[in-house]
Amino acid sequence: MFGYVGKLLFVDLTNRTFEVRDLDEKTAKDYVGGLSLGAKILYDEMPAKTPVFAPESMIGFVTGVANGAGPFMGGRYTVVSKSPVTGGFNDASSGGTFGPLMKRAGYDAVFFKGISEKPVYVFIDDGKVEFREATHLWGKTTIELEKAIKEELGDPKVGIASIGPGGENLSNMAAIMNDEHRAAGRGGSGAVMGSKKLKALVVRGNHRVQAHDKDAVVALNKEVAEWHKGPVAPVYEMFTNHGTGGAYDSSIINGDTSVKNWLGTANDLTEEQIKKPTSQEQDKLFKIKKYSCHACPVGCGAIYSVKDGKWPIEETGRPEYETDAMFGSMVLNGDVYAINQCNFLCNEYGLDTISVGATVAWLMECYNNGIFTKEEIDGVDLTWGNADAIVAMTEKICKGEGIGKILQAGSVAAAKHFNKGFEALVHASGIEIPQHDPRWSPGLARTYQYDPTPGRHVKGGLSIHYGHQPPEVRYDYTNTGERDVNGVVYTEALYAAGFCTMSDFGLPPEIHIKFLTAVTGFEYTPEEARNLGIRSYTIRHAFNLREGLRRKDFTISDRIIGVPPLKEGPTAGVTVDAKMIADNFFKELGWNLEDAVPTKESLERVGGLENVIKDLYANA
Amino acid sequence: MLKNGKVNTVKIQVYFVCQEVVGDMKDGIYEVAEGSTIRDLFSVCEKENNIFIKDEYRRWLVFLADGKQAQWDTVLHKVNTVHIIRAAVGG
Repeated sequence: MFGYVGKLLFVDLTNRTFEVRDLDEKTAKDYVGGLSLGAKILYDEMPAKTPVFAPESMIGFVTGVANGAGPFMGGRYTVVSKSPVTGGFNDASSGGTFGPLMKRAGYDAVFFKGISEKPVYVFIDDGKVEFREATHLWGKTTIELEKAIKEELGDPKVGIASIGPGGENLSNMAAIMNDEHRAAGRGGSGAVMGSKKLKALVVRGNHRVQAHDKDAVVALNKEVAEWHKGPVAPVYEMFTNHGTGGAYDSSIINGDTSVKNWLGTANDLTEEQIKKPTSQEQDKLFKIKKYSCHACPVGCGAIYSVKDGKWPIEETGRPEYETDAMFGSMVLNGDVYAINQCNFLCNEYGLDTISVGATVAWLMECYNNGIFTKEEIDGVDLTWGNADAIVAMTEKICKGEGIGKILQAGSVAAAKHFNKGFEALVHASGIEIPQHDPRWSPGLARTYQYDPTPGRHVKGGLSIHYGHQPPEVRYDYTNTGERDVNGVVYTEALYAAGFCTMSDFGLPPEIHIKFLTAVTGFEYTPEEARNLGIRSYTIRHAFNLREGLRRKDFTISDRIIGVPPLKEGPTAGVTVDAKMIADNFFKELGWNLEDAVPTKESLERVGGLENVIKDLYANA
Repeated sequence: MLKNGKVNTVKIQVYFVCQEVVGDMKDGIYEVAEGSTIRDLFSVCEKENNIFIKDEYRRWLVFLADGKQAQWDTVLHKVNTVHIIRAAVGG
């Protein structure tokens, strides 16, 4: 097959055995790769209702077919597992170089089950699988670990996806890190790795995948380059120079970015607090060089060096927009040194900056409202905006020290532990919410609540951009279904192919399907392309259904849908009719509204979902 | 319009938070005819700064008029401040 290695690796860590299987062409065409192929394999291979940390629980690293096959912006791989946070399906993707390097090592996907007796890392060297002791590496932070493994193998160019102490401690917020600063951050997949005593997956090799039509890939890449010079030039310029944090200030002002744990507006921040964390300003202080993920002409990454202030850091990744906002506007902080230190700590310890920042914000609101005393939170004065306290609490979480040990489980688990602070929680099905506000772009309410991987701004739907529609359009909830499903169709295929989240502006519309055909040789009619996206969404959702989750089990906090509405700011008075948006969505898919179970007819129409039909309707 | 044929004007404080789109357009007070739209105001800003933005780039601009969401065709009635900001693009 073109674009694919054609091999899947299944590793049993308990017995230290492995099995190589071929990837068949039908599965490849139907599910492509990334989150979609990952969900398909997880659905077929992992028994229903497996406890997340049980030996039978699986975790998979799945490349996108674009990885290493030539398309620009096609370098992302996806991690799939059950989520320890939501109890449902989890996928999290990451850029850098790891995905393409995994294919070079000889596999399209690597799945793990079992639990190693001792800490281990698995080294795939040009197809060969080696289990290597990692007891001496257990406890190392991610960057220390990468250095140690590269030294041990005598190769500075190996690809490494690893966990830090966060994953070892089974934190619900544990990320999987690669290329030092890149994270498959959300949903706690790092904890699943930790539960298996799997410290890292290390890859290298010389296998090169071939595109079906290399000339077509080159021509499409040229089209992308022209696109960047054309209608998206200003956005391209912002991303290539300043990364995702370049829109921090404007996003606060227009109401997209949350302030003060979703209670506030730009009016709660000083002009300086809004401006300083914006990447354009941070770059002036800290930027030493930029970097790109594999085959990306945008290059939104940068390396910072913080040479002065209370928390000097020799080298660290530039904080992403989400991180700036979580440790900035969410906690009324404008101290960029504190933001960088929090980002650095989370990356080092392998924790998701979104969930850590949101957990600090939750505790901060509780503390400021007298729900927690200073003594109860280890003497840290979490007054809104106290930069020292924000760093101190983040450090406690990262290291699992004092109250940090409880907070490592995330805000929802912490509220349950202490049996208080529930009123300040902001989450979707247990996971903290990222920094795009449904009161500003209402479709995010459906995406956050009902995506099979809840609480993600990068998932498909009406999208963030819907927030730019005039109020009479975006706050008219009567007719959103078709556009919502179209957004899902687009995004699912994009990620299945391994394209970057930023491709939604970085690639011309629908070019991802042309890339898919150029790389694989698979032709997709418009109907097949649509079914590809719906199938991907459905198989992820089916995983949740098989776990027993139904519509009522997917929740979202009232606060972020405007219950009660904000009293000031650009979204003052807005209450999102989240139920109607979701009804429209399920109706458009042909699913039952009551429980969000797809009808048999809707599954048959999409095709490639025979196992799901069997599980849902065999006894009907 | 006044009886003498002159046009009543209003002064509006404009803030730009979108340098990738508008380059060096300066924050400041701009004067427009009463009843002007955001589009009219933006034209004045273009002329005064001698910076003219391609039509295809305008989709990357969004507006707040006295803190409320506004569109290109929003009429600036009793508005003191306009923020011209970059469209959110994710991240």
